[in-house]
Amino acid sequence: MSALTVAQRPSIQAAAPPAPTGPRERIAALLVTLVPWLQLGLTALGALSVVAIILGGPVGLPLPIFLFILAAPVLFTVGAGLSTIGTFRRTARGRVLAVVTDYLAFLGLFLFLLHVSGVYLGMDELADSFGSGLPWLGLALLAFLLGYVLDLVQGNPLLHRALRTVRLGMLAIALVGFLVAVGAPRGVVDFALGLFDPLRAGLTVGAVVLLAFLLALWGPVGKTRFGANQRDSDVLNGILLVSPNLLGFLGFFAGPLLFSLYVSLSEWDAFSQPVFVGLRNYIDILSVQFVTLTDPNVALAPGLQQGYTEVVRVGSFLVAAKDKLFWISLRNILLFAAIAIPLAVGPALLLASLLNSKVRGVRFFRAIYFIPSVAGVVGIAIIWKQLLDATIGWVNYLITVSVDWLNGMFGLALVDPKIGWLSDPVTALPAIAIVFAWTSVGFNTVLFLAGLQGIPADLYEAASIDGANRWQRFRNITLPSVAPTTFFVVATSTILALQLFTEPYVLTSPNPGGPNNATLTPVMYLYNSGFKNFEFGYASAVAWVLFGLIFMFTLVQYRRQRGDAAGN
Amino acid sequence: MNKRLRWLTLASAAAVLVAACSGATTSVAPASVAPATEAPSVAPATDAPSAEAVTITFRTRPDNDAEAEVYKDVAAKVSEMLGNVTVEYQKGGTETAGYQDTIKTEAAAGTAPDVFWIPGTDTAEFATKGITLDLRQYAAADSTYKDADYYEGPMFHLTFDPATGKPGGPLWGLPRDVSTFGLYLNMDLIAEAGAEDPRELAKNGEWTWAKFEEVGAKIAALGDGVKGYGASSWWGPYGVWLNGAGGGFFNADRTACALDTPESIAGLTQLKKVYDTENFALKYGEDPEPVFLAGKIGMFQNGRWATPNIRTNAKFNWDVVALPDGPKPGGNWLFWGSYAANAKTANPEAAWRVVQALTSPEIQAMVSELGANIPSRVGDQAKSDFLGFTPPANNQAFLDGLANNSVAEGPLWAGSWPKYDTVMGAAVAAVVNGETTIDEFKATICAEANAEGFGS
Repeated sequence: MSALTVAQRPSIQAAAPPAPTGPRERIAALLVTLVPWLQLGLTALGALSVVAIILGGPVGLPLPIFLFILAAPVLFTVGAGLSTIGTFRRTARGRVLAVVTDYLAFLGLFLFLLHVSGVYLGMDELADSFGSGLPWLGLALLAFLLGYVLDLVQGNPLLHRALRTVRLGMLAIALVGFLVAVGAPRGVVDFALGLFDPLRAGLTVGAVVLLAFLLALWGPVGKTRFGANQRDSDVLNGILLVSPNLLGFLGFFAGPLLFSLYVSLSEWDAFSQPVFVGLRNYIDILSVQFVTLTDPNVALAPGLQQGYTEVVRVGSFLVAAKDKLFWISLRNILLFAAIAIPLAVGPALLLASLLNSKVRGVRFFRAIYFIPSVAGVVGIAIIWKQLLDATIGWVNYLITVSVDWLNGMFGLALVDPKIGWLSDPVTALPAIAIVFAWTSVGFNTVLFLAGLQGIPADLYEAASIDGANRWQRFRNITLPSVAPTTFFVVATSTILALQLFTEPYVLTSPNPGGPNNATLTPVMYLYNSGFKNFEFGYASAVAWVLFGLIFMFTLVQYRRQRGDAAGN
Repeated sequence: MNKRLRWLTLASAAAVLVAACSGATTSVAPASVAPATEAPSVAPATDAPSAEAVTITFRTRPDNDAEAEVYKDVAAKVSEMLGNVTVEYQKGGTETAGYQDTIKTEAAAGTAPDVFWIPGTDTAEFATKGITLDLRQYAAADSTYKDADYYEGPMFHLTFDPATGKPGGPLWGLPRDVSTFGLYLNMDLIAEAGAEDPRELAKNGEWTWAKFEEVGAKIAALGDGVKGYGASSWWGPYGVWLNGAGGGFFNADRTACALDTPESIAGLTQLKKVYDTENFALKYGEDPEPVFLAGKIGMFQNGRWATPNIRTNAKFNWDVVALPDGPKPGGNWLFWGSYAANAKTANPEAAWRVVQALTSPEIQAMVSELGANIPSRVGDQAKSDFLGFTPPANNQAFLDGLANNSVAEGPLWAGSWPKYDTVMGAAVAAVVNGETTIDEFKATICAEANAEGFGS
């Protein structure tokens, strides 16, 4: 909105700018004067790249991908072209466009420079050597702690100054030591030597020049020269402030999302060119056939269409599908959600109610319950796998001990069930639901706790005076008051449940999804389709179908919550 | 002060960023690499090998850190053997962390390592998708190389030409090692149960399915949760029952399902019998290794790769015996994996030399010391190297398993192994768990497996 206001404002012909006072200002003034020519150059470069891409043609590329690739330079060229006109006319809008295009050009050059310098790959090695720098970071931590001592000795200037010097020295030594330990000097030398490479040198010079222009244009000289007011600066600062997130969103979320939508309409194995197949993947996923059997005991159902296999049979009624595994995974995840969501939400509300009391040690318990939420899911799953082992797991051991105790104490004849938690198709999914709920309860408890703490105490007081018992207070005050929180918790738990992958993948290895596909989930299935069978088009289509399912669930919950809030 | 801190922070960030530049320069070793101190035992790939110093990245799927350390040493040794080639070892993820999936994804992005290990079942997919390099031209130029130096089973698939449907053409890699199943025995339980010693029975040629059932039943009779037998539920363990009955997964030319043949069904019936006998076997789908190590399983079926863990953690007397014979003697798997070269490697000749060096007798001896592998080279030296690493005392059981009519695991050149495996594994689990009958299995399995696995 603000940007529109700026754009619609009549251009302001700047008054004669004040004479530059220092060398920095003089350089900035010179650069600002040259900005229109820089923008013209960027426009020409952008146009050249567009022409080059078009002339290069969509060699082996499907048209949508080609257009997708072309969109970025076209937009850049248009922006640079408009900024050229604006900066020649010295309008504030021209300055905004110039800063944005310079910023994008600088960012592009800088990232490309990092690429040709091998920094992205080098990060792996840096990660390896980072550990050797940790002792030096320990020294920096000591220097930081020394800051507290400094506060204590403020009354003694001599000691204060001496300690301050020591602290700075420690910081400097820590910094230098850390950089040496992680190989920074070698990196600096390598980088400097790399500048002899014409490409890297050109990119470095280009990036530095663009940065200089950017700073000049953005700074007070540029602001004055283009007659920008405080509002213009606020707009520009706002754009630049959100730019990392915005660019990240476009590059790493919106872009891949659109790409996956296109891929879902293709047949693609990641190695050859995608072949556009329209909705075929979606049709294959969703195609089902209903058959009524004359003999319900027949093993191979007659009358099935070519390519269809049986999914489920109830009496003489049979459902077959083109993609049996997708429907099995869908059945599993719905069943899972039905078990796991109540387990993840109900106990969380109960725990939050308990933790909302002023009992000694309540903070400790809050921390304890939250730990599973911050622990690594893979680690948790491995531990649970051991706990749930049918023969030597602790869960069955406790059941055995309990059964023995009950039999011995009360003369019962209970049979130890020896549950095959993860190996029995009947219990595998509920076992995973228990693990999921265990990891989710802590976080949900914190959310409920926040909701509970927002309920005015006088409501409970009034209810108590009116004679409401504990349950009535909970039913008629607590539950309605935390309804928005409950909606949020249920919605997020549902989304997490429907995207289940890690827990069953680890718990059921070496046969993920087993036994007999009893724990196969849609995300696991799309992973298998993409990364095991290399059918990325099909996997993307599964992902979009799953998205539709999650969207539908969330929408229903949202509408119900709104209806409840409106008293319907 | 704030301004100073800001600059300091910026400078630190820039320095760290620049530090990352140092990692990128290691892809080409400095020209002044010291020459090898020993004469290389692997002959150069061509008569005039490139003198340029290059770096080859190399990745395996180690089961643990100790194994990764050995491969680091292997990389150093190969670098030493080849002189102008520096081999950089990359520790790959575990089996359950999607090791092959990672490599395939990296290959699609063009960042896969130059040389990598892959399981035998993945050979076809890697080759047909153009991920692995056909090394034949380099092998042909190398007078020291012979296909016949390695086990025939793996070489059938590693030289398979998808265009002609016959072996003897390309070279998709060289086998790193071979392995096979054995039965790890808890000798204390066997003695306590008063059962016959399976090793003696095997020695006398009496180690049959019937005797196996007899010994297992006696062990299971000990009670207290003790089982006679335990095995994992992937395709290997149940496959040997089908093979042992004379059946198998595929028809002779591996172009269609053979799970419904009378022989395969006989094997499946025996498998079901094993799991249906009360207390005889650990529940299908449970991980047997920790239970065996806890002393609760008498006979634990697993490959040679399980040996290091059992050596370290078993607190009882243990040894190994070959699998019992069914109607058709033998039928154990010949597992293998291969070292392959990335089709997009910048240094294909150096990659070939590394692949060859990695499968040289010296390196295979180094890897054999782990106790997890059987050398992939045929010949008495390789066998004696393997037999020397004890326990188990009866290492010969593994060699017997390989020699006795073993079936080489293999990829599907005419179909999709992962899809076939998914259908087959679920169907077998359904039979063993009692969800479907063997008759239902027989009636439906091949229609579904052929449709999914072979698209027919």
